[in-house]
Formats: sequence, structure tokens, C-alpha cells
Amino acid sequence: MTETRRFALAGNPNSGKSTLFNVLTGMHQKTGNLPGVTVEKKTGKFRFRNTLFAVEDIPGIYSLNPRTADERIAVDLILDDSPNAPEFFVFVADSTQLRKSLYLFLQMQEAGCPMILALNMYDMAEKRGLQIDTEILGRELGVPVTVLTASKSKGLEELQEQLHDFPARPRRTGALELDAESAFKRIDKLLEKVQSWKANRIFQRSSDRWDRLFLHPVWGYVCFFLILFLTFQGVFFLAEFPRSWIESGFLFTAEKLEELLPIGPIRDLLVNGILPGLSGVLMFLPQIALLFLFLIILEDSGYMVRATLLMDKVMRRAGLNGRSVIPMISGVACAIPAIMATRTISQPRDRLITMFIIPFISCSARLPVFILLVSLILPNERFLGVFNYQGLALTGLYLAGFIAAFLTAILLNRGMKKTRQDLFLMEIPEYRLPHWPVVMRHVGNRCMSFMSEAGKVILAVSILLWALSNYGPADFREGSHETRTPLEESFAGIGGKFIEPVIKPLGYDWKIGIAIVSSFAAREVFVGSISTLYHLEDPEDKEGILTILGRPGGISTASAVSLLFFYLFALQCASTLVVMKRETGGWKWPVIQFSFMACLAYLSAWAAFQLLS
Amino acid sequence: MNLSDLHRGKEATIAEIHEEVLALRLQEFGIFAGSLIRITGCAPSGCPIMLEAGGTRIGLRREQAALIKISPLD
Repeated sequence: MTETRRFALAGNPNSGKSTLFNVLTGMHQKTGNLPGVTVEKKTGKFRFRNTLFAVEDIPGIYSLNPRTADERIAVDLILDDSPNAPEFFVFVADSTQLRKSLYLFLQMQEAGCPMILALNMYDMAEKRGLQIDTEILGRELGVPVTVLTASKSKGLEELQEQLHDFPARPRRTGALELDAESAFKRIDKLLEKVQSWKANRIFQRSSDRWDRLFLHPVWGYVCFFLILFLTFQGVFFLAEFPRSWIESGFLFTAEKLEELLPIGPIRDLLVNGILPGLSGVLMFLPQIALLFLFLIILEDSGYMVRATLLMDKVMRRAGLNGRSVIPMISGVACAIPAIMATRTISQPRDRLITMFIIPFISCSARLPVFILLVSLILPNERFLGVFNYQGLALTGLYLAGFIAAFLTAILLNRGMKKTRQDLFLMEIPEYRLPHWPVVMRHVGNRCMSFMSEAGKVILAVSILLWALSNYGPADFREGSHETRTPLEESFAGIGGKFIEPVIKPLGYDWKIGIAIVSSFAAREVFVGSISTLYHLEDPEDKEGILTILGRPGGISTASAVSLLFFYLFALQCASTLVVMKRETGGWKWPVIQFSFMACLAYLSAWAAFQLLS
Repeated sequence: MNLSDLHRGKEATIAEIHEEVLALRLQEFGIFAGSLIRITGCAPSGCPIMLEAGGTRIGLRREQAALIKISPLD
């Protein structure tokens, strides 16, 4: 029989808790080099010597006095004394930042938390010539102490050994009376005893050299925009190869299925309904994976904090604060984690404005739609030998999203009552090389969740769409089963024609109309639906979707541009609305947000089409 | 003299912090009246400024730095 022991990882932000969590559990979890990036509760399991351990990763905090929603979650988890609370804690401290870490440690000890002290990033400390006497430290603090370097999986076994031997004992509760000043007096005295420096090594933060570049009055901004620009260029350029493999893989599968299966509704559903729908989305997986990869590297390396510093002044013009930059940039991946990341903003007003404008930032679900439409309008060629036309257009679309977000923020800022300015105080971590296994696992995890969530919706929508497009009222009259129902006379066709008057001024025909309606729950469905619909119109056509759409009778340039504007602004994402409702505590803001964005989308799409046609 | 007047690379000790929330926040990093503080740089637009104290590096807006009274060292 095995017993399960529950413990939690606690510590300051950037102490490497998430990395330790990853190497312990092998489970997928993000490690951020950014204060407050671990917003949600993460749990995992691992086995050591017949004991099953259940671990929980608690967001990093500096003290038990919470100020933001994010910190409150962490403090509540630590002070939880219910039966399903963790039995004990592993306090993860950055060995090079021991002084600051020990304050929270002492507070937690006073609150009665049983702990093991894990001195992480010990290799960094050694590199700087810092030595820590763990024996004295453990004796003075009255807890087991262990050193480790989680990113290199060094010292893990010793920690696991200590976890295994940790005595089970009931948790006591203590009152918090420790004041910061006397706590730090005690810490300084203690550190004098346990820390020793090799005298001949004077350490110079290598981060300073990088900061001279990244925070330079001119080069800092140049680098910022260059990094964003290269990210989007890279997304387009590098993803091209896997994308074409995926596309030809699907065409091959479709051909094989046609050979193998007998003619009938099942073959038709598979070949003309499900496969085009799925391939329409899978084709964009490489782009999404690359975008996440770049974002995670920027976050884990510590660059995002510099971007925050760089943009604080600009953001304040729009009534936001530097802290809004991180949620906004994460919005490029997905609005949902971005909206949740606003919990680190302590002023409710700033937080609301940030949440309101996040859906304007082009998320990865818009990426498939953008790529499809941009590929229709522009050639995949380079201009001046360096700039990819499509990549440039994509950069422009993302910029347009940011500008719309800003203008909306300014508008809201004017309209809402002013409150006291938020205290902007942010720890600046050193630059760090990302821990690749963690980065890769995280990218994989993000792709999997995109696939499973988008995949489910798209599968359901493709089947529904296939059924609605293959059958029409005529099929239910007698004697008409021999011939295939033309798309125009199917249920979907009739529905599309019904809404055509509304979307005609935007340059959309009924097929595009059906695709838009089908993408109300999630934008990326548009691509799958378009792909399914155009395949159904002429099932014998074996060309790729881009070729079909590019031909006369497909989507014209004016309509494509109009669609780009529509998707740039419309809040076509049910999950975002649900998260907004949860975070703002009601339907008022999501409804305002949805209507505002819908009006903007319709008007801009209309203007674009009228100008171009 | 206030922290916002301190030049880059120069050190000072904190004399007084005029804002309670700011003081509490800095306390968590082990920074009090009497602590040694150094300006390490600033964002391109001059704000926020970056400072180092108690082994921690922190970004702080200029108007908040103006609430920290210092006595410079020479």
C-alpha cells in the first residue's frame, strides 16, 4: 500500500518554483520570469520510494500581506488550515537573493507552516563566489535545508530524500506579529554567520550590459519593435514548411479514403465535412506553436519586465500602467490567460480598462483567419530580399489591434472616474537563459490544449455544417433522393441567403455569412467552415483551399480586406465573454464590450469594402 | 534631497519615506530608513527609475521616488 503526502511549493516570484515543479512532476506547467505569472493553482504528482507525493505550485509572493487579487490567492493557499490543505511546504529560495526570501520564510514559520528550505539556483551563487553554510542555517531556523539547481536537475534526490523523511505532524496556527524591521535584523545577523564570499571575485551583473542596450533611449525602443517584428516574421516564415506538409498530408488522406470507402454519406461526411474542417485548423498549428515559443522565451528570459519599464510612460498616457503591458502582450497568445493576468493590477479601475481592451489585441485564434486572408491577398514573396509581404501585413494587423486597444483605453479613461494612481513598484529580475525542457513542455502543452479545445468545437461545427449543407427542405419531400442537394438549396444555403442582406454591404456572400455565424463561439472555426463550405460546393475539386478561394467566385481582395477588419475588431469568442463575466462579476461589461466591438467591426469592414470595390 | 534627484550610479542612505504604502512595500524587500540605496539606471523616458537596495533591483516611478528622502554619501 502506498500513502500520499501532500505538500506545496512556496516562495518569492522568480525563485524557480515552477522549474522545480516541472522537474519534480514532469507535468506541464509554465515557469515565468515575471512577477505574478503563475496565476492559477497548479498541481502534479510524482513517486519516490513507494510514496506518492502530490505537489501544488503556489504563486510567488513577497510577504503574507497581500495587495493584489493574485497575491491574495497565494496567501489564502498558504494560510489554509482545512483538512485538504497541504501537509507541509517546500520553501524555494533563490540562493543569490536569500535576504529577501527569508522574510517570507520567517512569516510563514510564524504562521505555523512546517517547511523544508530549498536553496535553488545554487550554481549561480557558486559562480559568484557565494557560499552558504546550510548546516548552521538549518540549525538556526530549525528546518531541514537543502541546496539544488532545479534547472539542471541537480540536488533533486537530496530534496526527495528529505520529503520522504519529513515527519508528519499537525499544523499549528500562529498569529502574525513579526514586524519587517526586526525580521530583517534577524536575517542580516543570520546571513553574516552563514554566507561567505570568496574575496577575489567581484561580481558584476551581466544584466547591466544588456539593460544598457534594451533600455537605451533609442535602441531600447528599436529593439522592442524589432523583437516584435522578428517574432511575427518568424511565425510566418518558419511555419511555412510544416504547414505545407500538414496540408498535403490531409489531401493524401482524403484521396486514400475516397479509394477505400464506398460512395455514401459516411465517405462524404469524412472527406468533405470533417477532413477539410480539421485541416483548416491543423494547418495553423505550426504558427501557433511558434508564437507561443517566442512569447515564452521573452517572458522567461526576463525581457518582458524590461518591456514593462520601457512602455510604462506610454501606457500612462492612455490611463493604464506599465503592468498592463504584460497582460496586453500575453493577449497576443490568447485573451483568456491575459484577462486573468490582469489580477496583478491592484487598482480596480486600471484593471477593468486593461481587461476591456485585451480582446482588441490579436490573439492566436485570429491568426488562422488572418493567415488565410493575407495569403489570398498577398504573395508569399520577399521585398528588398528581406521583408516577407505577408509577414509585414501581419505585423500591420497586430499593430492595428494595439492601436485600437490604446484608443479605446483613452476613451474609457476619459469616461471613467479617476482614482489615486497605482503604486508602480516592480522587481527587476536578472536576464536568464530559459530552461528549454520547461519551455518546450509548455509550448507542447499550449498546442495540445488549443488542439483539443478548438478541435472539439471544429469537429462538432464541421459535422453540423456538413449536415446542414448537404440536406435541404427538398430532401424531405418524396422521390428526390437520387440527386445531391446543391449547396444553395441546402439548409445552410437558405440560412446564408437569409442573412445576406445584412452582410452584403461588407462584401460577403452567403457562404462567408455561414462561416461567420459558425465562428461566433470561436474565431478559428471560420477557417474550417470556409474550407468545408467551398469543398462542398464542388466535391470533385482536389485543389488546396487557397487555390479555390483565389479563383473567381472565391473571395475577392476587397472582401478579404473587409473580412480582415471584421475579424480584427469583432469579439467572436464565447470563452472570453465568460471569463470577463467571471472576472468583473456580472454580464454588464462583457455585453458592453461585445456590442462596442461588434459595431466597430461592422463599420470598419463596411468602410474597407466600400473604399476598395 | 529626494531619491528622484540622485544621479545615476550614486549612492545614498534613505532618511525617510513619506508614503506609507510605499514604505510597506519597500519593507518587504528589506529596504528601510537607513538602508543604502543606489540608482542603477532608468527607463529611456527617464521614468521609471531603477534602483538597487538590499541586494534587490527595483523599478519605481519618478514621482514615487520623490517621496523618498535621502542623505547622499560622497
